[in-house]
Amino acid sequence: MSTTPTTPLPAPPSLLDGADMRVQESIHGHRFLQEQEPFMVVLEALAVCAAKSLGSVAPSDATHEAFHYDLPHRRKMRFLLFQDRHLEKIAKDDTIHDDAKWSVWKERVNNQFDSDNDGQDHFAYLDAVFDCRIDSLTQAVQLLQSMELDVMHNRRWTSRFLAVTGPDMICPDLRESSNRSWSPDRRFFGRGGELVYLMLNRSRHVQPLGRLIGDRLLNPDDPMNRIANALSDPNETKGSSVHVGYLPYRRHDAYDRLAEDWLGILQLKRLPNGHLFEPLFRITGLNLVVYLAERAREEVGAQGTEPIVADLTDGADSQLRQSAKAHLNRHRQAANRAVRAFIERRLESDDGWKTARDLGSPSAAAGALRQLFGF
Amino acid sequence: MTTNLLVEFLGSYGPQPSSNNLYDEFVVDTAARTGCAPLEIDQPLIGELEALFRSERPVSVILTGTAGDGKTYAARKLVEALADREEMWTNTQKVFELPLPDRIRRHIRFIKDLSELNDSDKDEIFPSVRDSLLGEGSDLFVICVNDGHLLKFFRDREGEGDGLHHRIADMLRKEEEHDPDGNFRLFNMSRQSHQHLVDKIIDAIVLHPGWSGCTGCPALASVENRCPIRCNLDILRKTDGASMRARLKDMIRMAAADRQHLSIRQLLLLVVNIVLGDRKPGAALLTCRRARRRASNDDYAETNPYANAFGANLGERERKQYGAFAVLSEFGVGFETNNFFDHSLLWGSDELPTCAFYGDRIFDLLRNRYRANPDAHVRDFTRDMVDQRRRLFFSIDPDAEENLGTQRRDPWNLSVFKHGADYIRLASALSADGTRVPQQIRRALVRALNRMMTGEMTNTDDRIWITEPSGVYRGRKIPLLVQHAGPKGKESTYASLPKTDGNGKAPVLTIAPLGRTDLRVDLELRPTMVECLLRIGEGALPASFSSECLQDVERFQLRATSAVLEASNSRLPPPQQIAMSAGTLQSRPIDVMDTEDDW
Repeated sequence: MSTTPTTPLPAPPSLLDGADMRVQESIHGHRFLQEQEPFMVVLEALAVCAAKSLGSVAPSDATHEAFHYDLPHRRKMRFLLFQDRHLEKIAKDDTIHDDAKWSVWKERVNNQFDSDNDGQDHFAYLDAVFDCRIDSLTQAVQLLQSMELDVMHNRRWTSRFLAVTGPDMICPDLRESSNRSWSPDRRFFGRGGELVYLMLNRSRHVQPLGRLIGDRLLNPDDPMNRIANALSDPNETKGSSVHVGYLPYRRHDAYDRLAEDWLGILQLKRLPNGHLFEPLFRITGLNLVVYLAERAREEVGAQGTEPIVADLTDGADSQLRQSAKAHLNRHRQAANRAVRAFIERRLESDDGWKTARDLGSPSAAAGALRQLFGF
Repeated sequence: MTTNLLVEFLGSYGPQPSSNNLYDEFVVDTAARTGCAPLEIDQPLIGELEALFRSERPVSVILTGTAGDGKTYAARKLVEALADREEMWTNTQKVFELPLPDRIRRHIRFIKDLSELNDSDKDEIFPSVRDSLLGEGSDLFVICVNDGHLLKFFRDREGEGDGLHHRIADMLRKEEEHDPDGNFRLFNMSRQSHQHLVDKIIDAIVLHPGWSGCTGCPALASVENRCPIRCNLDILRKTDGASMRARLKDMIRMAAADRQHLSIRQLLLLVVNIVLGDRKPGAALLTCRRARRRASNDDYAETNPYANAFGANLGERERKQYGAFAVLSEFGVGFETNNFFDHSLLWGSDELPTCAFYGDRIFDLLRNRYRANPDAHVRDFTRDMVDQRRRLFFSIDPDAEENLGTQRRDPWNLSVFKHGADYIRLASALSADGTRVPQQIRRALVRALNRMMTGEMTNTDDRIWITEPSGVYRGRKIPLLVQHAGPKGKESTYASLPKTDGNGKAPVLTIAPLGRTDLRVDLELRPTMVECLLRIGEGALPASFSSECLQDVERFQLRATSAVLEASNSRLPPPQQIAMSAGTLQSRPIDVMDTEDDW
């Protein structure tokens, strides 16, 4: 049975203010960006899970979940992985005596990490963990580097990410300002993951799903996570607190479908943890596309589903290509019609708009529009 | 002038538009018209079927397979074997009825081709077919049909089929012959190995009694200008390791293992074309008259059986439409070579096998012209080089004493399967009892797998180092050891090359946790995979030969990893980093995880 959405939950105060695509975001959620690739969406969703475990904030029929969550910076670990230029060089340098390598590296890395260094050792926490052995540290760094995702893109070091198999491997998208302070950036973590989190949180399967995510994707005992943990400064607790986005409806079939797919994948016991991520982000991408199409259809009030035609022949069959193109255009048009239908419906039930129309007053109409859509 | 009717008769099996004999239904007619005995390919299946229908408990039989696999032929032979009267199944009868031997009022109904029946005929016959397959009716059926039509027949009538559609689909997928309830049997004739049939097919043609009709022909008697048809017959009649027949069998065996099944019809067409192919414009095949003209004009270059094997006498379009030539051309024979062969051909060498008609006799003149003026003759010469390389491919025994130690003399160098001989040795060792896979092949396979799985150019070849494949979008890969797999008894996960049952399928490399054969994981060692691995073992880079093979190995890695995980109840020892030292793989603990010292 289809649970057709009835009334949307009110958006958390001032969240949608100033949003460029306010109507679209009221229909689909705040917000889905075309630029946010599915693997980023899932990474972001896991970042939320790591901060607020799934199911810990109960959804309600009357109000939207409103919470802040912390995005850890992990500045030193990320520096070691993506910024340090000295470690491998010194480890391989035969002119430096093995016993001296650790301190040579320490001096250089501190200079690079903090150019106004006043003699403070920012990486002192590594001494005990690695027994001052440079080979052990190099090994750990290289192993964790091999977990980096999407290496073909040469991004700034605050936007380089690890495939997540444990909580200490979460590297949120951050921006460095001129005074070297870090703040969250929405370039790659564009809130799509927050909405996936909310969808799962509102699905029927939230409890088992929360447990499975904890066991398989955010397990502190995972070998790679132990390495990440060893490379992180236990005293570096700096993070940024951000507010979760807006997902209009309390219930939707799409939430349960998405949750079932996540369950299906996370329950595959024989698939090693490191291989869960790929199927997970691919199926999430598909689920989101279907959700967007369904929401548009619901707003328009259309019957029946518009198929999504995927041309897997890479254009070899022109008929299939044409059909895929035609259907893609129909989906685009449906999204535009949904915006129109949404606006018209809101206006129809709005007294201010009715009065303005009855009076034939453009200024009153503009006032009503601003009132309703902030536009 | 003598004309042997057999030549015309065989021609109708060959690659020409009027080749009616490609369809069993017409063989009988042509045979009667030319007075030639139809080609008899003795198939063990026919005897098996006869015994089944004469047994205490006969059951219905479904014969599936692609066009040309001999379904109709087998059914017709069965009728001949079972009929006690002069009963003939004529071609026009789509359904033929025969009393069941020694049974009163029970019949076997033969359906020549289920797809030829129209829908109302199908509807009419369906209830009795269903009853028979469920072991309920009194009549039995022998149904010839390809698997697509077979499934459709039951799918269209699923409501009344009592789950037969599902059951048959299941049997086809699992390649099972016996229905679980024992009420019918399903023979997939495309799954039969034609490796053993090749000899019979060649013999049926080259040893046909009709060749005695050549007696008295001057072209047969001539030594210098012998009839090219007879020359080609002589070549195909040889059976030693250096014969054309031996290499053809290897190729057909490899194609089948690479899932390129050649039907009996295609094999007949191939052999006929080797014997009768004629490159001179006009007709594609020789007649007695044309053959005599080629002989008297010394035109043997046009009747070259080594070129005919690849359809050189046909146009590009025709060649592609016949499966046999499409499959054999993928071996690239003639277009691959090495310096030894090319130098020896160009300057002459007594190290190469000779041929009375298709060697220097057709090549000398062109070669001399080319050596005198290469620019003017390069086009003709390259075509003839291809023919000569093909002749060499079909005339050298890779297992002969003098060739064994000399890699450059291996005829497989003249094909894309540089290690074709090793594939044949591997497959032969595994399909026979009491033979072991040569150690050097086994070690080369293990070495290559280790190279692919660890990304290191290692020489370690005594056991397999299983690693997890790196996923998508991942960065530089640091191999982590999941587990070793080696000979039974030495490791907790063992690797083996199990015997095959000689059905023509490719051998497999199996990895299984000790005592958990239910978790076994197979890597199919298809000829392409073996070629890929052996090249990597020699230094090629893993992604350079075939990305399909690379993906197959990655899937194998992942499945092996999960089998190991499952067997250990998800309690693996901490992973170890794999490093290489002087070509040997070594494992190194991950220091930060090494907790042994902490006590």
